Amino acid sequence: MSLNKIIQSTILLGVLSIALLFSFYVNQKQFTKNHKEFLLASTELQLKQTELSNNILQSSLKAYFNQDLIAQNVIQLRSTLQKLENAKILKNKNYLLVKQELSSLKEQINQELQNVEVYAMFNAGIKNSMLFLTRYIKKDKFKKDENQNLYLQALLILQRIQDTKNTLDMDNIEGLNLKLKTNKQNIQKTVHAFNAHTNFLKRQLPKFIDTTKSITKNDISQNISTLNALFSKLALNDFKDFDTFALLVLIIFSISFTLLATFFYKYVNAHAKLVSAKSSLENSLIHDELTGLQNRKSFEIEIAKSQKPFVLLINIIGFKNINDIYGNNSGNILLKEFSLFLKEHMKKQPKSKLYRLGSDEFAIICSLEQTEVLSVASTLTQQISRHNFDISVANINIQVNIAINNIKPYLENADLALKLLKKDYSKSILFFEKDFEIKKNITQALKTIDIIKRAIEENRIVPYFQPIVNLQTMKIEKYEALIRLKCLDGTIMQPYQFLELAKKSSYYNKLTKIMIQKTLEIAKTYPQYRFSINISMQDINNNTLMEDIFETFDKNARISSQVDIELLESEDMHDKAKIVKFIKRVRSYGIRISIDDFGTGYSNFSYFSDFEIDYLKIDGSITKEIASHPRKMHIFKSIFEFSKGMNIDNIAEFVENKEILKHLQNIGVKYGQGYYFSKPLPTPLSSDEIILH
Amino acid sequence: MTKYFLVFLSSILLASEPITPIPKTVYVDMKKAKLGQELFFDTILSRDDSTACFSCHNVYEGGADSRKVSLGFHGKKGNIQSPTVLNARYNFRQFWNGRAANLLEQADGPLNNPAEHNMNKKDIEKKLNNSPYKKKFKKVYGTSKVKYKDVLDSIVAFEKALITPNAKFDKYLRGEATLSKNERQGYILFKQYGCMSCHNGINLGGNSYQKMGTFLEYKNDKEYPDRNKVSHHKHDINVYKVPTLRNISKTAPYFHDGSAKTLRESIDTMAKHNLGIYLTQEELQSIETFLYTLDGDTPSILETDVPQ
Repeated sequence: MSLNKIIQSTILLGVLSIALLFSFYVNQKQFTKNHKEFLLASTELQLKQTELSNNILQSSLKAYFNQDLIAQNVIQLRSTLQKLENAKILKNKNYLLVKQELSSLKEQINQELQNVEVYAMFNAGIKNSMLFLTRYIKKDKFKKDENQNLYLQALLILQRIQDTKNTLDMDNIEGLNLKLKTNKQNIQKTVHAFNAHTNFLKRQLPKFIDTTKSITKNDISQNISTLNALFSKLALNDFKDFDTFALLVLIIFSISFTLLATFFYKYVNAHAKLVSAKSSLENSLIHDELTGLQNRKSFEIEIAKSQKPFVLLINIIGFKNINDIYGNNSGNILLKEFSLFLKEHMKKQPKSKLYRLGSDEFAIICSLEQTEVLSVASTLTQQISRHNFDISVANINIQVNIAINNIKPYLENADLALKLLKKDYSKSILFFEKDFEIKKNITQALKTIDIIKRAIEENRIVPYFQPIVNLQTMKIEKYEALIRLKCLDGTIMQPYQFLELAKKSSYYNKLTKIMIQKTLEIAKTYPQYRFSINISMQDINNNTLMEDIFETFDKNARISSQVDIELLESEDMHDKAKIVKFIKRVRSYGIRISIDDFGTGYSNFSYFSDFEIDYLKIDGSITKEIASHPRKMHIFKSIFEFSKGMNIDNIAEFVENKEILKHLQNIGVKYGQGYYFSKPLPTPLSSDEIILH
Repeated sequence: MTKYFLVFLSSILLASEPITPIPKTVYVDMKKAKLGQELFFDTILSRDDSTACFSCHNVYEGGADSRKVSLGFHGKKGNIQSPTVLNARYNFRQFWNGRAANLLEQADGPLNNPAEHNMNKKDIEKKLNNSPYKKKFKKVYGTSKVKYKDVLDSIVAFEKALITPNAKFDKYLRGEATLSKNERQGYILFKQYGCMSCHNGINLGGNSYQKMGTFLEYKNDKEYPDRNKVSHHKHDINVYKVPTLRNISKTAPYFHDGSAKTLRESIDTMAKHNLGIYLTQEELQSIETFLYTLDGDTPSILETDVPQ
């Protein structure tokens, strides 16, 4: 049986026992009530019967008796009898015997009550005559000495009659002449009256005795007792049944209770285990296994409920190196030692909590004033730098960066500050400021910059080459070198994905350098083509880069003459002198200059007067719509005419289809580049022929 | 020895007063009683609208009928002298022969007797439901239709209110009044001659049966409904319920057959036939005087008007 079934059975058993208990209670209550009802009525019957006997006795003895008492007794006896007959308990067939007994008792009592009526009738007459006689013989006529004998005789008669009545035995007057006789005329009438009454008594006494006996000698009282005994005996069986039932209920109840108690005990045990398992699980969830400090999860929970906290993000500078040098094991020891140190140190700041967020990153949440926080951080950095950490294989000194932040989102901002801090070796503490708002892209940017950095390190920055076609000869004369980043998975990142960001980083100049070097390498292999490289104002402004570049040109003087430089138009082309100087210098290598993306942005005709320019690259946004937009055609033609006048050749970008090509050819544009000819390619084509699709 | 015997006899004979006074007030549901009172006086309860309960039970004068036998439906004669309805609640049974256990059973009798009201349950209900009584019963019993059992119930309620307290003798028993010398003499004779053997209790009677002519045979007219008609026992021939002596001065004629026209005549007859005694004129007069002290107040319910 499965546990579920056992539990179900237990519940069923419990419900059953409660139902049985309830039914027991109701039945037992009803039965007790009915039982009591019968017993009360039968007791009352007994009582009234006794009372009736008593009243009859009194009425027999007393000359004056209030017969209302007897009348009431009779009425009460009748109603009690009725009550008994209607007793609910007698409807139960178990009490059939009682019912039969009661029925015969009722007959008996009814007979008795009839006898009582008759008794009262006779009693009154006999009493009255005896009362009469008692007074009568005291009359003067009887008392006279001459009538002494008559008086004594009368007294004897009266006494015997009294005895007869009291003993209910006619033998007392057996053979006794109840009549007085006298010859004296003067008391003849008196004797006659006496005799009339004794005669009446003689006639009435036997009937009175019979009736009285039937009342006093009956066994009604005993029969009521018998009825009671019979009833009690039968009721006892019922009570026994109830006892048995109660025992059964008790057993069932006990079983279900025991089972329940067992289950409860088990439940409590299991629950306790569960609670302890849960708490240990919870502990492990919120604690760092290695250091025993609370972990990132705890940090997040704490920070969520903190009011205006300061977050101190601590990171061990060069931890990776320590791992590399001393091994991971020692690294772990350092982390533990470092944790202990932090813990010890932060004891002084009771309002602060310490967390290990991961690897060598630790955090402190504290609610202090800004100045206090700064002092805590600086003290901490100093003490850490002075402390010798015993990592068993060596004693080492470490340095930390601490980023501090109290602006939501707390961790992200602190993280950002820490990242900035990592790049800035001059500082070891940085307070996050709202100015770091670039942070929104910065995470991504930092990632991208990291990609760029690694690509540079791993030589994955490569030039792609897009042919530039002479539209008259339809031969490839040049290639534009376009920067690409080869990802580790082999995919190629387009410049728009990283170049803008790269411009803001120190890597941009490196990219330019790599492009020049690699393009020159290629140019060496393809002496039949010219290669144009994009140079921005930022590059020109970077003196170091410029020096590097010119050094490169110097080293590859012959190949350098194969190079064109496309100057990217930008707002910071105001330092004309510098540009003029640059152009002049590059031209000395035989490098030609073209202005890139002309026709949009900052296109400025002043370039033409100030700078010595060889080509004007007309922006693709104009070229690709000359077929469909007459205005664009007009602009295009204007630039073309203008360039022609200045003796500058044009290069049209975005030649995407035959139609555009036709227009360009009709106008007389010298060069074109675009997908209609070719996409940028990893290497230049060996043939200068264009295969048009 | 004889002396002691007589002392003994005297001691048991001289018991305390076995007569109890009528309570000054009793609880009665007055709403029902007033309704019952109206019905009691109303001939609507007879078939020919000739007879009311009141016709034979003049509650203002003794509660009985001054005629030898009552006249009922179409002037038919009853077969017995009408007993008083006053204090009837204290009788152990009702009717001369005690065939009714209580007032409820009693009230049912005359209503259905062809010589009296000559009605039946159905006709009474029908008649009352077509009368203003329908509303009155609804008011008292909350029933939409008059029910026969409620008719009897209201009449019984009225009859239960018919008590005559504060008789001079009751006041005497309560120590509130003294009897005159003659009255007291009458009471002593009443006891000594054994009248009290049967006329005792609250109603001075009405609590046992007795043979008319215990001592000296009384004429037996088989027409009268005696106890024998109920029990069919030989010894119940000429046996009747002992009548109450309360207000006896107002309930002439006397006995079941109304044969005694005056109270004194009835005392004389009783003494002869049931006690075997011949009373002197002085004794008769004394006892009569005593019996007058049993006249009580008119029932208080009669002093207020019947609601219309």
